[in-house]
Amino acid sequence: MSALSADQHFRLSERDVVVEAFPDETVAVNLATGRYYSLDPSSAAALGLVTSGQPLGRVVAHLATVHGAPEGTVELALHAFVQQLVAEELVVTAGPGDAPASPLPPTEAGDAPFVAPMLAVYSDMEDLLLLDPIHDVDDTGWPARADEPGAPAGP
Amino acid sequence: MTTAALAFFDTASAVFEEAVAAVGVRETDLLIAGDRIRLRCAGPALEPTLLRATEHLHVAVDADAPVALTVSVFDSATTGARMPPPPWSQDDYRPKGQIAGFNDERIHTQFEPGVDVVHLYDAARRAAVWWVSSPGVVPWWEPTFPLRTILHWACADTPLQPVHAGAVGRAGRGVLVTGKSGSGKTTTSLACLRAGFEYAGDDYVLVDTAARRVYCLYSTAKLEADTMARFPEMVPWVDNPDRLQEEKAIVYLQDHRPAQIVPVLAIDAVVVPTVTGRPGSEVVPLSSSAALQALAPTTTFHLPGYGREVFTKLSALVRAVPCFELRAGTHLDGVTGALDDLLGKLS
Repeated sequence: MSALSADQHFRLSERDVVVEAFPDETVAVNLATGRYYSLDPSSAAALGLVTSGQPLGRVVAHLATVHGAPEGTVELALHAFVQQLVAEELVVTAGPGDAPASPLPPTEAGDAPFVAPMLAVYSDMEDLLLLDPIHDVDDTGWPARADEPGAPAGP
Repeated sequence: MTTAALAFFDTASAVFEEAVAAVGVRETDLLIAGDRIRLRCAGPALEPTLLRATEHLHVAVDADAPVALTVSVFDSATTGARMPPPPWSQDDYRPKGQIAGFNDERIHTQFEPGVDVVHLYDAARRAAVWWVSSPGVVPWWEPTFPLRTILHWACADTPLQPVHAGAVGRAGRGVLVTGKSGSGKTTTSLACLRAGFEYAGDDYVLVDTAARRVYCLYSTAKLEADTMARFPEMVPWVDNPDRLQEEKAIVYLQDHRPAQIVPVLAIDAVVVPTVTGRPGSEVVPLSSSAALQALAPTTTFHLPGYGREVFTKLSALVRAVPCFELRAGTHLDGVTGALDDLLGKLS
C-alpha cells in the first residue's frame, strides 16, 4: 500500500461494516469479507478519530498532544493502523460527497501514554462466504451439483 | 422493487399451483412464537424433509385463523411441475446463494449452495416458496433445521431472529448456549437434557431479542461420533444409524423426551461453553463484547442477507442479559450442576 499523507480523510465503510462499542471492547464486522474485529478502548478511540473525516495529520497532532508523545511516533503507529483498516476494507478514503468532518474532541494534554492502536482480526468465518462457483447447469437450466469428494460435509 | 424478482416469485408460485393440481396439497400449521405458519406441500414427498423436526410445533389447520406466513413447498420430480430455467445468469450467484438483481426490500431469492433448494420470500404478501428439483438431492442436514432461511427473512423487521445456539432451562427460565461449531453447544445442551432440564434446541433456536425469550424451532440433535460416545443412552434413538460414516447422528428428541421439549424459555443469561479438559466445571462472568463475538458471527454469516440487522439485534441481547463463560469439564454432571447453580442465582 502506498504511504499515507497528512491531508487524507477517511470514513467508515458504512455499507458493509457494523461497529458495536462496549465499555471494554469494540467489536466490528465486515459483512462483505466475513471478517470480524476486536479493538481495545484506545484503539476504538483512534478508529473514531480516523473516521471523523478530519485530515489524518490533524488526528496525529491531536493524539500527540493528548498523550504527550512525539508526533513522529504517533504518525508511524497511526499510519500503520490506518493502512490495516484500509486493507481490511473497514475504512475508505472520504470524498467530496461525504458528510462533513466531525470536530475532534477538545485537545487537552493527559497522563495516559500513547499506545499504538491495534486491530485484532478474526477470519474463521471467511469460509462461509466463499462462493461455490457454478460450473455447470443441467438440462433444466439449474445448477448441477458437482459430485465430487470435496462436496460439503454439512454443518 | 426489482420487477424481475417479483416476476420470478409469481412464476414459481404458478408452478407450485400446477404441482398442487397434479398431486394435491397437504397443509400443516406450525405455531412459532405465537404466529401461525402454514406449510402447503404439493404431495407428500417433502413432508419428511420439512415437517419431522418441527412436529412439536404442529397445530390443527384452522382456515379461519390469521396466518403470518405461508410457505409453498414442492419438487418437480414427484409432481411433474417443471420449474422454468432461472432468469439469471451463472455470474449472478453471490455468496450464500443470493441472486444478484433478485433481492430487494420486498423479494428475496436464494439458490442455497450445497442444498440445491430455491428459497423465495415476498415480504409484502408474507409468502414464501421452497422448491427443489427432486427430494433426493436434499442433503442430510437440511431436515434437521428446515426453513431457517425463510424464517430468517420473515423475521427481518422484527426483534425475532433465528440464532445458531442451543437453549436449556428450568421452570421456564433458561440460558442461551452459544459458540462456534465444536464449542460444546450440543454436549452442554444434551447433558442438560439428561439431567432433566427443559430443552429448546442445540443448534438453531428462535430468539426474541427484545423480550429476551428463546423459542424452540427444532427438536433435533446432531451428534458427532465423539459426542455420541458420551450419550450412550441415545444410541438407540439415532435416526440414521446406517449413514454415520457420512453424516452426523440425528436424534429427533420429540420422539423420546417430548415432555422436556418446551416451546419457549426466558433468557436469563447467555452462556458460552469452552472445553477445558479438566474434570470440574465452573461458570465465570464474560463481557458482553466477548459474548457477542461467540454469538453473532456464525448466525450473521450462515444466513443470507440482513447481516447488519442480525449483528445489531444480537448486540442488543448481550447488552440486556448477563453473559458467562461455562468452563466445561469432562464430567457432565459438573457441567449441568454449574448451570443449575447459575440459574438458581439468576432467578
